[in-house]
Amino acid sequence: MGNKILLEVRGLTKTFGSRTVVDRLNLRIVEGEIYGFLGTNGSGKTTTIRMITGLVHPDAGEVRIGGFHLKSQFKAAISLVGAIVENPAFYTYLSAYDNLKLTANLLPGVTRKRIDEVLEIAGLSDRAKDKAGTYSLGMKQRLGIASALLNRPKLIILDEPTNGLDPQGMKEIKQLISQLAEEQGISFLISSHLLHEVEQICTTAGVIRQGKLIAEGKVSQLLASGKETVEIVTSEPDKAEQLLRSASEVISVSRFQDRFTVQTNGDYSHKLNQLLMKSGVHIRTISRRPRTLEQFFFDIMEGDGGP
Amino acid sequence: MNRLIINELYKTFRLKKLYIFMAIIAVHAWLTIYFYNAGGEWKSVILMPNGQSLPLTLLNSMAQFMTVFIPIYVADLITGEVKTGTLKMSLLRPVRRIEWLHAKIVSLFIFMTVLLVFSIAAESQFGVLRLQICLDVVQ
Repeated sequence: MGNKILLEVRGLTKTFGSRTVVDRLNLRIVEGEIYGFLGTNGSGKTTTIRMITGLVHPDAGEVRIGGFHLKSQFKAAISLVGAIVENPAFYTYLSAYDNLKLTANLLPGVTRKRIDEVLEIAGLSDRAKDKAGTYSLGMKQRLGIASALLNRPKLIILDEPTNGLDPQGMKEIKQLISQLAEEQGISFLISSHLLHEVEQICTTAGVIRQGKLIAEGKVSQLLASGKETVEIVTSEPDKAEQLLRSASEVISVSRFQDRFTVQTNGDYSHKLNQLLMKSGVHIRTISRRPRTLEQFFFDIMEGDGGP
Repeated sequence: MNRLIINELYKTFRLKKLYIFMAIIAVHAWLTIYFYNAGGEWKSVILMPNGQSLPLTLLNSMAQFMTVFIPIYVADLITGEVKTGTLKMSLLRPVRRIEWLHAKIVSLFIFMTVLLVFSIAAESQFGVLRLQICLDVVQ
């Protein structure tokens, strides 16, 4: 693990005509991190990734991968990266194995044995001789990851890896990502507009909107801030309602028979518990409803005046 | 750079189009011979297509074929890669764009050479066959 900075993006800017697609973006990925890059369609995610992988030249700013400058030390920098940008594309008239062989030819020190290895990791060994054109979208995605793994990269960049996949395919890709991060210590930069997906697999997340990073942090921390929803079931609902409504941290209380749904301004479930206990109200259950990244995402969007 | 060219050639020789082009050239040579025969001017050795004269006669028509074959090949080579996104397969690797383009151009020249050599070989073969038939007739 360690705290070595693997990817550093500073002041990245790109304009298409008069439209600024990416605006002075700063990004930092530490070794061992799975970074979720969140944003709605057209927020500049893909453009950022295209700039990080050198497919598009930025108007301003710099990208460093493992300390190498992407512009002046392109080959050294890109050698540390494996990437799928947009859809994984392959030569449809060649077999999966031959496609990987073509890619391996471009990478110094990648042997035939490595091709078999990555096919095994992606679970495609038994279909390796089939033409890539006959592959399903999920298999193409896995073949893409296999090809990204060829050069033993330190960082893998995936642009919407589960886009267009069915739940089974999504699960497989997520498992593959977690497995690779755990077993081989590979860092990931995953862009997505599916928030629960990022919540499930990522350790860190950044939210981009109109080309600007509007929030960034550990997924657990991002989820801990902001509004909280607490559910309380009590046997003395009338007394409890009075107490809850008078508590200073409470934003709103809604009651259904003996069940309360309380919105608080921050992490106050333990205080509510104390409050009710002190007054001798018997609590059957008290639970914090886990906040999803989804809610968080919309909270920021609203706070910012909407898209 | 060399490996890029090897990749390009590998793809070219796995492409069905190359073999279709070769078939077209072979069929053209055979048709030429056939119609010469039908014309009945087989006694004139200079005019008659044979192993030596047929490749030379048809070299001129190669230019006409190439004007069709080359754009089709280049469309696959460059435009096709951009369109299907396979361009990224190379550009996401330690490959500079200029190297990529160089490899494509070298590959185009090799493609033309292969077709030219094939056409000369095929036409001289057809020519020799034709000559043999003619000699048989004379005897």
